[in-house]
Amino acid sequence: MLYRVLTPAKFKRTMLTIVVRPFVFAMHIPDGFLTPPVWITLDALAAPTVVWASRRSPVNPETSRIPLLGVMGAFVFAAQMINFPVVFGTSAHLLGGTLLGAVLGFPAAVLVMTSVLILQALMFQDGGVLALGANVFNMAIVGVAMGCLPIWLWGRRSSTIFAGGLFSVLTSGVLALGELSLSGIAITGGPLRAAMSLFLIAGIVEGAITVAAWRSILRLSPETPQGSNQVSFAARTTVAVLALVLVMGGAWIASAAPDSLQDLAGKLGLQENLAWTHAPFANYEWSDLGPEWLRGPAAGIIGLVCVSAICAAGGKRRQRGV
Amino acid sequence: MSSRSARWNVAILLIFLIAMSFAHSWFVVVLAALALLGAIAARVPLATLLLRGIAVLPFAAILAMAALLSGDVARAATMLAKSYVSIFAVLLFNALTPFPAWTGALHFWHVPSSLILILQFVYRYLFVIGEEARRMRLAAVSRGGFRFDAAAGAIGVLFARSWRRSEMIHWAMTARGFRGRFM
Repeated sequence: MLYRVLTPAKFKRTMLTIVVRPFVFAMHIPDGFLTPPVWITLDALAAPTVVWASRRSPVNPETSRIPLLGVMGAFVFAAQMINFPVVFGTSAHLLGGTLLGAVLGFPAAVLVMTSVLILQALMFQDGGVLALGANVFNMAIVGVAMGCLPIWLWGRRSSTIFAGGLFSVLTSGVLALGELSLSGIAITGGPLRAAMSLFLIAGIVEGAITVAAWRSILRLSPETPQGSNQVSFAARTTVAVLALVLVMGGAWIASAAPDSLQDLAGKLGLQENLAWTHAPFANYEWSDLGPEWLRGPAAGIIGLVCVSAICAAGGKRRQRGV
Repeated sequence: MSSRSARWNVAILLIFLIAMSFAHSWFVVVLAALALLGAIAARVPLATLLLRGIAVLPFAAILAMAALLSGDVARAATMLAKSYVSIFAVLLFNALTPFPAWTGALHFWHVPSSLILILQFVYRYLFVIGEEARRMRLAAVSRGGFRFDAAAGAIGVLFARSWRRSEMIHWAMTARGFRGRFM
């Protein structure tokens, strides 16, 4: 079309988008990259969680809950069409997990994000069908949980929502990298640093967009749920310090020994299958099984599990009104 | 399309993808040929499907590049090929199975009915709300593009409209006797 002549500024923007976009999209893992043990495990983890989440929103013709969740899914799709300008003429869009978590609560947000991911995989070829479990686990379950975590602990405020957006994108990205690495796609050194910095930037942008969107939602519909909670100061501080230590430690260890997750995969026998599918390379990287297999991204994942457990405990306390 | 044949299509897609995931290098070629034969037999517009598969490929290519960096060319090529054939299979499934048919078929495998309903609602209103977002974007572009806070405002408006729309949908559907399941 005539009005879409490619000006130099537009060209630069297009090139930047072409270079940067796939990295963020790489969080939607396509089929063909995860080995069977990895995707089977993640499908088996994701399915019961989604069933649990769906039990929290039963089909009940008396309430408007189900149409609300469906329309919110469509809203996430539509909101992704609105571009936010970032530096150097690039633009980004909302990913939405944290915003949904803040508005609808964790189980409902899991359900909505899962249905968005299913549609993306089957109707828009964004992410694989067998890898759906992995993508749901990364983005709809752990991603949303990490987004809800600060909000859960410190109430809905700009700072917590920003932190939620940042954590959720970072966690999804790191999990995707970890899963690929368990499948024998080692991303180390320069590419790893590049991917991590892109995830960090994407996370900061997501946090900023989520805060801005949240504020404007509050202005327009003040009836949306808000308010804080009563977790004690000591509990909050403990969790904050723990999380900080885990994140810093995880990042430091990951940069010190980036390829140990692969060793872990070898040790657990996950690559057995890989060797079997590609017979000429049967001895692929099996030689150096270091004793320090626990280090690296695995530590980060274990850290995430710890934080989640602590938060679950914190939530129980909160429910009892401590 | 009957619900039974939609069920079969879902099952065949899953079996095909699982076989692809476990496949040796020569078996990948066999499966690709099988998918191609299926597409020809089903008389779908083959060139369109093949091209749409290629359009999705760059995202997979990034991952293949990572595989390339970590070791050997053969593995990266196999992964890319597997990814492409899987995408083609999903596209073929899409061309042959209408959305309401396959989501309805999910009831057979005891997928939670609230998830199925939400999926159907998302798909139904995707284009309605997407059209609203597109109009907002067009209006912003003709005013000289979004600033950051203006884009946030647009999201807020979109959210408020979606929320009210969902309430109206609920009332309208209840008034028409909807009891929690399409078809």
